[in-house]
Amino acid sequence: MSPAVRNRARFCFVVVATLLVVFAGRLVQIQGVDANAYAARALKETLQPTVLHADRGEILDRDGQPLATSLDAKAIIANPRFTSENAPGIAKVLAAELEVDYFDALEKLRRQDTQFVYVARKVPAHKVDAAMAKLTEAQIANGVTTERDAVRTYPGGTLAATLVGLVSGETGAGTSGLEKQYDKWLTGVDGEATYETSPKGVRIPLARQTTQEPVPGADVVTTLDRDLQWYADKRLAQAVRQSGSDWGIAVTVDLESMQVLQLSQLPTFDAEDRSTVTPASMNNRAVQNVYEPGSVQKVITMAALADAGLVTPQTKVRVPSELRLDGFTISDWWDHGRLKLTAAGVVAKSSNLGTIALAQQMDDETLHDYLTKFGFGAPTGVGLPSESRGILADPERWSSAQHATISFGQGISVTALQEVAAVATIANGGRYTAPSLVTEVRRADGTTVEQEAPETRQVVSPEAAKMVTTMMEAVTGPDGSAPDTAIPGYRVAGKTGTAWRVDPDTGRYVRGQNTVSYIGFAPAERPRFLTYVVLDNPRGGGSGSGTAGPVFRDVMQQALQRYGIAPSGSRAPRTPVKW
Amino acid sequence: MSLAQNAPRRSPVRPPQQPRRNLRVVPARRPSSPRAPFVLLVVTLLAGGLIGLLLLNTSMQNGAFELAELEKKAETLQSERAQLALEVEQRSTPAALADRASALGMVPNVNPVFLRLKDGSVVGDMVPASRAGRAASGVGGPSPAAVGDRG
Repeated sequence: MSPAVRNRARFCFVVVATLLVVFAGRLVQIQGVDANAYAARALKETLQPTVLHADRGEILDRDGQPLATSLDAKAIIANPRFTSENAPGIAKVLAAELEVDYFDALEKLRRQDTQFVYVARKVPAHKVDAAMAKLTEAQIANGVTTERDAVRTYPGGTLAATLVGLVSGETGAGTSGLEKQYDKWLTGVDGEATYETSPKGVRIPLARQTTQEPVPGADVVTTLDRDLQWYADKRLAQAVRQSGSDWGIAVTVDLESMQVLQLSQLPTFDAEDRSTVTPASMNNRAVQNVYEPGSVQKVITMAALADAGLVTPQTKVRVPSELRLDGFTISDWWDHGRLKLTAAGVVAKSSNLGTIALAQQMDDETLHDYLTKFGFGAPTGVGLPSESRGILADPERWSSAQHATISFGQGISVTALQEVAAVATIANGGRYTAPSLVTEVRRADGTTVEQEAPETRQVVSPEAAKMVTTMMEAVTGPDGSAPDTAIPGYRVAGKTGTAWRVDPDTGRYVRGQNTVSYIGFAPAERPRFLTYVVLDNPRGGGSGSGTAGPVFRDVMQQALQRYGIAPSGSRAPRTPVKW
Repeated sequence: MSLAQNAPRRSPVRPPQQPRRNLRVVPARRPSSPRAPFVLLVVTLLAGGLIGLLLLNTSMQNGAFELAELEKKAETLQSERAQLALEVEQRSTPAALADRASALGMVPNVNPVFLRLKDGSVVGDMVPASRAGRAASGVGGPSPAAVGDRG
């Protein structure tokens, strides 16, 4: 072996040895040092995390019938960069399968300035799947993807629509009504599934996988009776249309439980047709709108006076023809000279002057205390967003005119639900119980969310409540202001209200504009239901008995019939209205 | 063994000697078993294992495909079920029922009468329900979404 050859061999050996050392070093680095990082990277390529969407809870009526429910739906998304080429083909399939407009879809599929466009939203999932299968079959699915897009449906349409509320089309979170108030419970917790897939996207069997199940939202069980709600919606709509009123409210509560059976508010919208949704129709007027209740408030004044021992139904009152207080002249709704009415007669005929005369016996502080105990000036806590507390001025600021007007329901502003709770106190023997709208928030696992027990307190004595009930029965009697609101066979206690309307913009009374109302409960001898109807600004002024009364009578009759309340057959007491 | 029994008899007092090696005939070598069956066995085992593995793999893959397919089907059926349930709900709303009842010529009754079990008397006025009646007119009124100041 010549030296040259030996050198060459040595050189080659060194080169090969060096290379082997480098390889060995790299091997140790990969296998020993960085092994975990590489393994994780490899796994990441094949691991597919999927969000498992949690269903939103349902809103149910008292019998478990859905007022709001969710439906699994999908959105179809196109990337026009890829779809413009096959646009006519794709549009044709989508038009045939999904009831989307062909030309509309075509335009979206060809849009120039974007790479993301919704072609169709809220389409039932199985229809989308069928359409995607067709597209894949025709090999034109490139650029078309789908995304979960759960749709909230309201089977009843207009049924209690304002009360139930709506969810945002984008996020699915509640934006109004019960959907907003109970959003925290209705929303579930999304889960996640992770599993290894082959590069083609097929799940690898026996490979590692983790699943975190989604937690569905809780169901909200309301106290509403959807059949009665539907009837009241229709009946009130008819009255609002006929009287040309701006808005209307009808509420019925079950006096035994103080649960709201129906809460009809107009204007409203069709929850299945977003084009009918307007700001005014989203207003939960029964708790958000304040208005002066007018003569309905007289029964509250009477209850306070009766509890203080200052009045009985037979108390004799001298009613003047008019009264001047602080420069204001106050008169009754009908012209009369000096009258001799009983306290029952004052309520039955709805005399402002008679009420003032009786209320003069009570000082500002005491009357204010009674009003506070009846729930005025504080929200009822029924469980709707943005509830108003009404307007009840401090007694230190009352003028003598205000003391007088508050006694017959002017110069005080209330919400309809406050008025309902206050008059229900009289029907329930003087015991105030806050009305409730939701009985239960039921989680998917069957447990329920603790609900606060409604507030309850004795406001006036049972005897005082009984006396006022007698006065209210005289309203529907032959000498009363609203004999037409009597329901054949039943004893009905009621009270009309025709209040001067305050213009919401100027804050002043407008001559000829009224807020008319009627409140009543039946059967008077053993009260079971209370219904309150308010109509705002009816054409020509309207009246409590003529405009709101018939709605009260029809809704009340339905409630009595629906719950099988038989008339007791007893007769209403004949209370003298004059002396 | 014969050696051990005989030795003491021949020389009882002498110390035991190294036993003499007995020469024995080595048994003839057994003819070796043929190789072929063993090779065949090994090959069969290997091939069997390989095929078994292949079959197992294939069936698992098939299982995976079937699983994916069935899951998809279940999803579709679930969605269809939800859609149908919704249709049932929509048909059973008070409004839908009232519409169908009116189409059949039915009218609401506002004058129910009650039979008192105590004395068998009938409470209430028996008045036939009529299409022109009060309640009937309320039921047929305008849509609640079309009234009031909607501004």
